[in-house]
Amino acid sequence: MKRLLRLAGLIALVAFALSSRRNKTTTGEVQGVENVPKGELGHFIEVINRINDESDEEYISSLAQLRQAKNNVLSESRAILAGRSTASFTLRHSALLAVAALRDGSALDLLTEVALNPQPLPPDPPPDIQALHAHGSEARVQHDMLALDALDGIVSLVADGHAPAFDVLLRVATTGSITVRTVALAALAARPERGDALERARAALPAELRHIGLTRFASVRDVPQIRDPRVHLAQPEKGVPSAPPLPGDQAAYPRSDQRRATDAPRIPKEGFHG
Amino acid sequence: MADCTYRVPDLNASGDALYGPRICNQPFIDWAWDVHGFNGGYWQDGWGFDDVCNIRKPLARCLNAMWLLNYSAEDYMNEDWNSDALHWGPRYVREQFKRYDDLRADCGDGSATAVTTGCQWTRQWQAWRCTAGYNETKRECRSWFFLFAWICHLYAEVTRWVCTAFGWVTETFCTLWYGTVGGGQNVTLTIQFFYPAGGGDPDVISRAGTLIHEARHIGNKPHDAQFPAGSVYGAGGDGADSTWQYEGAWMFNALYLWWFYAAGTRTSLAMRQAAKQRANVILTNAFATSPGFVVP
Repeated sequence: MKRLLRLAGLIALVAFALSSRRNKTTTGEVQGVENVPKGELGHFIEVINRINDESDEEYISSLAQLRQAKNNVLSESRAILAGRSTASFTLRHSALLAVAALRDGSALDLLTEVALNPQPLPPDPPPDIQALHAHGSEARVQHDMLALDALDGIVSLVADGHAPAFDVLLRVATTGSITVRTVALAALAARPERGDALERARAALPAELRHIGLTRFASVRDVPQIRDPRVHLAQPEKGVPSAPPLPGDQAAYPRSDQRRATDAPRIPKEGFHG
Repeated sequence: MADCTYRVPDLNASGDALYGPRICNQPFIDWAWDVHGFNGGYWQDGWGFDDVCNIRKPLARCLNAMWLLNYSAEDYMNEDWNSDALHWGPRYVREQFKRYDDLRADCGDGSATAVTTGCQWTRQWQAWRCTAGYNETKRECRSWFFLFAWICHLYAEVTRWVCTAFGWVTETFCTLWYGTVGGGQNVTLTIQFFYPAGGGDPDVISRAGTLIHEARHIGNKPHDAQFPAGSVYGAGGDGADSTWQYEGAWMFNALYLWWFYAAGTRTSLAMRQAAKQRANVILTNAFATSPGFVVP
């Protein structure tokens, strides 16, 4: 009897393990519609998603064109940021970088609206568009990231001496989300000549958020780092090979330890596409 | 009929168009496939195995994140552990992923971008938790009156022994389980890792951040605290790290993003800005005790 019970227990354990294993799943694309901006805004967005240097000539020229077309840029950006647009988070992020790059007082209204309001801007998106937006905590993360983009634009205007932008910064520091509020307070703290404003913003914090009033901007070099990441490996280091040298660097980094993974996917004849 | 479907947002703004042509390189694919432990069986049927250079498909989008991780430092061949997170980050991810049985793709249940299945929870006791608890108790013992301090020291020794024994038993059982009927220790990237809909990663840098985050979990550091008041991740819910000094997955994630923003190369202005904003969201929302600094 005991043996039978043990056997039954073992079978139940194996059955549980097998049932909890993940089966392989299949996936496929559903066509979605996303209107990508054209003109100066579209060009600027394309450039900032390709270039990594603000001193690059192409960046400078696209920025000049963007600033010349500021009215169009603002109205197109507003449309992208509105709830009824089909724009994804990344496109909204790029559009806000463009609005901030205008460094013009006419952008302040839109920047304020985004910094103070949850995204997307009203009116709310209809249900069929909702799928292109994120849900759950990542949706809130993205809303805060967009608000931070807008806040950066406001801080740039403050640095340019735009007085109404300073009032907005103070407003954001007292009424925004915890993320936006913390960064706005750090931005205020970075302007010691306006210590009175910082004190007012700090005083407006509820008791449970008092600590965020002490937050400061820091350089990544000045914050605590990981002293020895090897300590945090699950097992002693195996010496997994580094990435192969980039095509132009092969002469500088001759390597002989690259193994060819026989089971790796092969590049199809059509090559890169998307 | 597919088990799950996805929509592909603008490929320029997500960074996939920038990285896509770079990953379409057979030596890179061979290397990435081998060192990250991809299991080919899980990357068929729409996941991109047969169309590895198509950035609309999951596999290419994952490879984009791996390319970003491995080539974003100017001197990318320098992966010194004593350097910064931008340099040692990719090495850390490779070492951790290689430690596990395989890297899979799956539809997931909508609750996470990646799932790490294995004994990282049970390994934490022997790896660091017992020693950390022991050291903390020892520190407290110093404040005891010297005549009674021995009781405290004895307590520290006994609890460390019990803790170590508990860790050994649970780890042995767990390893046996996953080594036999439990299906192995794996990292599974869900559909939300590849696409933003449903709360997923919207761009290449956020995917790279997820890889760093999961790698840290493999390194035996589960989240140990509740999210603070007002957190976008759900105030009071589990999943936060107690402090920056805890050196958990959120710290690794934010530190990498921060370095990428400050010194990332072969990328774009928009991608670096996204890294900065995401780092600030993590810094202000994912630690029970605020680190006290943000990215300017």
